[in-house]
Amino acid sequence: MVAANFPSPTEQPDQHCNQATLLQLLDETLQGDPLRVAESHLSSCVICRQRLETLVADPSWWQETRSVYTSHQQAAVNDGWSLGRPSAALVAGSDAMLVWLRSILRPDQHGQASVQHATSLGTLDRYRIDSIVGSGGMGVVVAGYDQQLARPVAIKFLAPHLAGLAPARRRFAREARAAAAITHPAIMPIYGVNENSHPPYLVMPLIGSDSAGRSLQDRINDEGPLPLETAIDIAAQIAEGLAAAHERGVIHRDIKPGNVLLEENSPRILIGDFGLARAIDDATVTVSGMVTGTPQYMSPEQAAGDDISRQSDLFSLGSVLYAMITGRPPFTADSPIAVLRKVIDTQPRPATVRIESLPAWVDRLLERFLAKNITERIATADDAARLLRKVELHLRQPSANELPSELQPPTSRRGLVATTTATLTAIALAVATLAGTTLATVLVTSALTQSPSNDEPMATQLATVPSTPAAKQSTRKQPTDAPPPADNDREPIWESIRPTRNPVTIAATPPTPEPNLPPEMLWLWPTFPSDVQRIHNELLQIENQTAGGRPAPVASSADHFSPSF
Amino acid sequence: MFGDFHVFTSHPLSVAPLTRPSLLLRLRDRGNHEAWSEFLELYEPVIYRIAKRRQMQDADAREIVQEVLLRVARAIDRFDPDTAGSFRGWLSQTTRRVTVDRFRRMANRESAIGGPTDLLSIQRDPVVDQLQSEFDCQQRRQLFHCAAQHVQSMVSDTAWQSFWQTAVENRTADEVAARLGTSPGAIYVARCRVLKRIREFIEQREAD
Repeated sequence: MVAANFPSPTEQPDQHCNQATLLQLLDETLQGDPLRVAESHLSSCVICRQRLETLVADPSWWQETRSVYTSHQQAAVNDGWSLGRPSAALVAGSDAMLVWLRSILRPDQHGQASVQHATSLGTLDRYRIDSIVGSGGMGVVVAGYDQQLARPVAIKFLAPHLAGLAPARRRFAREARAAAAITHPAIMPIYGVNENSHPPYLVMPLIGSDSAGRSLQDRINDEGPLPLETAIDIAAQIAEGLAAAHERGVIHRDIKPGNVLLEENSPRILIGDFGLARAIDDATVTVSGMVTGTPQYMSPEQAAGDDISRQSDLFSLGSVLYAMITGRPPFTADSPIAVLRKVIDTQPRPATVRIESLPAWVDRLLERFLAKNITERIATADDAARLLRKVELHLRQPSANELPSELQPPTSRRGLVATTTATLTAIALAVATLAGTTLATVLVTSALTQSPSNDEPMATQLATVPSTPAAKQSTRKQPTDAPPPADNDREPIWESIRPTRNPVTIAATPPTPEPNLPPEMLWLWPTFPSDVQRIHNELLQIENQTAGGRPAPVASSADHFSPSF
Repeated sequence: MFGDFHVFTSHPLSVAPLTRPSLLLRLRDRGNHEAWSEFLELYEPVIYRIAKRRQMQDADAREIVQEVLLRVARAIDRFDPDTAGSFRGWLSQTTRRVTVDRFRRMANRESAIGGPTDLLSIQRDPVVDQLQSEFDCQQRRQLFHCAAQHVQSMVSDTAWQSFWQTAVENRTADEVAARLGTSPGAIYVARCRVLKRIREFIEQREAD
């Protein structure tokens, strides 16, 4: 503060800067000549330099800044954390990775198969290494060729920075052995493990290259929701694979569509990265920092950092099933942390709200897997596989295979008498409504195709109730315990007389009637209780009168689950 | 285990300002992506480094980061600065609990999937209190790091170099001026402006 307030308005180079000038310098508001004058003065005046510096911060700040930035440069190199991004050395195809890879490979020997593979990077043991497929936080995956057995392979290396650590190597070996011990058609086999190599690696079939299939994630990305039957079949295969693993005490911990590989031209699937999810990231996973991989398929207990059990895999399987059916994961949000919070404490939107043509039991099926509370969740992978296979049979041949009882609507389990009574009431009411209105057409069956208005209240209800499973359940049970007026309760009634739920609405505007009963619907008629059939016929008569004798549509496509949602 | 612990004995803000409720309030809104990114940018690396300092391997350290942040996310609605103390104090305690829990679970995990079990010494760690200062120290380091990234993107390269080469690399203004083709006075002005921005950034974040 030697020269605090010099009065001179135009400063000369040999005069000290006044306080206002220094502040303006820092605020970046000083311009033109005064700026040049001040800069030129600062070039030579030690006093004003110091004044300027102290104005910004006292000397200890400057000191700390230097010390932090100097040590930070060092630390960034040492601790491998590069602000949530994979460290530069791990970016696939990067020069550093190639250099590292080349350093552990033997150069190709001329005159062998390598002639056809000019791009080969070299060989390791009996494998020819062709290219880097990908890399994650903990490993590098390369595509190669087993020269002894003449087959393409994928080789996963433990990342160089981990390969030197004894605990990491032990863990790698232990998990690889555990995974290799599981043999099941739905589980990606492990061809071999070499834990003594530097770095250790394991060998698996090469899948996911252009020629050999893609992941379930790719398929959902490309095609959107899968046909219900396909989704159920894939889920059943996953459940069967999980059952085999769980039997051996191995939990996958990272079931997600990216880890399910689809074989080309075959309904078979393979679960990848079994038991290795934490030893080596899947190559397809971008390391996004905080969360290794995506949290969207995590179980609540996993998301909360609690103990993981076999049932955690089943929750994830439920999320995968939900994604297959609806085209997107059950829990989505802007940030990973928000997703995790949703996983922990919100209920997903019912699948039938997202895809209206789905039968109601799909929601009940998903609830068996997506129960937050582990005691309410389906108990074992075996149970899950059995349930899913039964559902699959039902889908293929509904007349011959009943929907598993645990998925049937609560109403129908109360017995046919109550059901029929309720049905009659409902239809009587519908008739009354109809009689009192001059609406052109009442299409009972139109609702079978499109019933958004009927689905919406349930969705709203579910979305607004407290998110505890108990609260949710009580909300859903309400209709069975005390049936509200038929107007609100049409859907369970129709569930009771049809194998699948098909909500009924009274359409305000008549959709184009479909004159012909689709052949796959014909089997339904004989199963109608005769009373219902009679009333239905009456309805058709009334409708024919009001609609000028147009043939009534009697069914729609709602019961064959269109693959093109 | 704390051998490499670097203590900043004194800096002008060594009496760290208590975390004010504003960021807390914003974090309670789950949809506030900006608040959460700000939070993550600062605390993720801090928690990660603290875990890594306890000889955890990368995957485990990342899991700890995740668990801590999740507990924060779950409990933030209930966090009351008046009774629970500073936000940072709470974060560091959570980090410690998660770390200890994790080691304990590694010791008796059901499946073959596991980790190093020879690190249980964390539970006998007598210097638990040190964690708080370590946390503060790491947090401040990370604040500086964030500040550098933000400010560097806001100023010209010449301005940044003027600051970095003189203030961090300790070169003279004359030398840097010659390199950058400008006057020593301009170098001084630029380096002070940059530090001013860095300081403002840090103080604003610290006040949050």
